[in-house]
Amino acid sequence: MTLPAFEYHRPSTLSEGLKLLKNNAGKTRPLAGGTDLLNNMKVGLNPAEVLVDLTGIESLSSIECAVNQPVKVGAAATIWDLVQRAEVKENLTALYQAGCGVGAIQLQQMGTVGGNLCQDTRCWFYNQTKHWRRARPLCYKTGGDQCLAMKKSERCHAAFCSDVAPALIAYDATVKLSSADGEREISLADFYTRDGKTYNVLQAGEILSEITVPAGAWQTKSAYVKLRSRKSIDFPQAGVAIAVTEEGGKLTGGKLVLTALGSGPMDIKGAGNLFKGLSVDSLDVEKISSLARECAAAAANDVLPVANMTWRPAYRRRMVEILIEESLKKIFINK
Amino acid sequence: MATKQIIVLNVNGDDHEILVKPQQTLLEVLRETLGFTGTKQGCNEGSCGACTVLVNNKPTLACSTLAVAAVGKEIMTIEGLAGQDGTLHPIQKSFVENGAIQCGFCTPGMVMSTKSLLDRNPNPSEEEIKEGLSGNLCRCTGYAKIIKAVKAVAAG
Ligand SMILES: Cc1cc2nc3c(=O)[nH]c(=O)nc-3n(C[C@H](O)[C@H](O)[C@H](O)COP(=O)(O)OP(=O)(O)OC[C@H]3O[C@@H](n4cnc5c(N)ncnc54)[C@H](O)[C@@H]3O)c2cc1C
Ligand code: SF4
Ligand code: FES
Ligand code: FES
Repeated sequence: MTLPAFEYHRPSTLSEGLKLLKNNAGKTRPLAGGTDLLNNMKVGLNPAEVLVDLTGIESLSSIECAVNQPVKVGAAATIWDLVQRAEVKENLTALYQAGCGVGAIQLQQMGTVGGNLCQDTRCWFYNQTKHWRRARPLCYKTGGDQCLAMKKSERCHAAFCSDVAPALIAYDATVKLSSADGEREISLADFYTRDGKTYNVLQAGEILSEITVPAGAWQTKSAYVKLRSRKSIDFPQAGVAIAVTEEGGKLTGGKLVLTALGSGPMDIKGAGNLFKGLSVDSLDVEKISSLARECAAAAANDVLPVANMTWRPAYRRRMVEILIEESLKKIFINK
Repeated sequence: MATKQIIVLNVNGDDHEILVKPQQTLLEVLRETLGFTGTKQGCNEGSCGACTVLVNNKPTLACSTLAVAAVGKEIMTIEGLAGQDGTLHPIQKSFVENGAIQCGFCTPGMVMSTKSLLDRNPNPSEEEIKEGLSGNLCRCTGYAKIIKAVKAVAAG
């Protein structure tokens, strides 16, 4: 499979890049590590006549990361460069575990944080060659008027399979979106729409330029666990990020964020209250099991796996509780 | 759109001036334009590691990289590893001596990933070797001899 023809630009400043994106709006896409985009384009997905390579823009590759300070990550910084820093590995455990879970080492070294957050959603009926897809009618995501995975649905259910997004949302990260006309800052949780076709809020000509992890993240205890077919290379079929805060031996709150179980990461609203007030010493294996069960029940309405990847929705749904339990054990028992 | 352009790629220390289309991958250009056929095409979609080369010392999937995006960077392929006189690099030697090669299709990618692993961690544990090579699939060896080969070269 070869790539279709396109024009390639490699701007060296952000303003030059944003101008190129604006001038070619509607027919252009930003290119970062290319691990998602180029492989999709080879099979006729993510069409673009112009690619604007963001990796030549120095300001987009910077990482400011010091303990107890907000972490600022340029969107084109690689996953590897961010998560292999000693401070991240030791303190921002969920981010480290999520980063190490992305594909395999080559994909972590090539893939950017921004590219990971903006990666396309995935579906068995979509991530296929052109010939395979031609044997079936178009679906919402490819320009048709039906979903092949959920026959009666009025929207696309393609799964958002980023490992990094749930970890960053668990830390309350925000993102800066930039275009030639200005910039805005929103929470990463609000970046996603939960619709498989238009899965984030980026407007034409707009890019995700910077990610900020608030200083409070350094005080959390966190973990990320993913369900995948093999221990490497594979995308998550479900993923769980948990970050909790503690004061004087008691949990003061926490976040539970799921991935690959719907068309966007899901920040489970009721989870914080389940963590609040628990004494850390009381969290033995038994208590963790019952807490995991409660968390999974709180998440049940938000978990929307459909039959569009290798493992059956019922199995992926059932695994949510087990992944939560594993994450809690990583935080409180294995440490 | 998409007109051909002249670029210079630095491969194994030498500059090559070539005419490419923007949509050509580094893998296509290395193999078909420059004749570095040591780098293999397996899946051509980022999931097997057969096309792994080093770009600025980073293990990089040549099938998922544009040639035009590699301008100004140092690219190292398996051909750049052996000495000028053909003497094998210690990693290559260890792969041969430990029977870590059967059909050989995954070998160039495995060796380049091993080089990258040992450059950042000269004494990896077995677990670290497995992690370091987890992006490279082998359909023949069952991996045990590859891990043995990497251990042997790390032990010097
Ligand atoms: C075999 C394989 C396994 C994989 N496994 C995983 C996995 O386990 N977990 C996982 O999370 N991912 C996985 N991926 C997907 C991908 O490798 C990663 O998500 C990677 O981080 C994407 O980053 P990139 O820089 O390569 O993005 P690119 O491919 O360059 O871009 C991805 C998309 O985002 C857009 N984009 C890129 N940067 C920006 C920006 N700054 N602003 C706006 N839009 C932008 C692009 O236009 C494109 O649509 C896998 C990919 C492959 C091929
Ligand atoms: S979930 Fe439905 S609409 Fe979306 S890509 Fe799959 S088949 Fe198409
Ligand atoms: S050919 Fe590049 S990863 Fe398989
Ligand atoms: S030796 Fe044949 S694929 Fe590895």
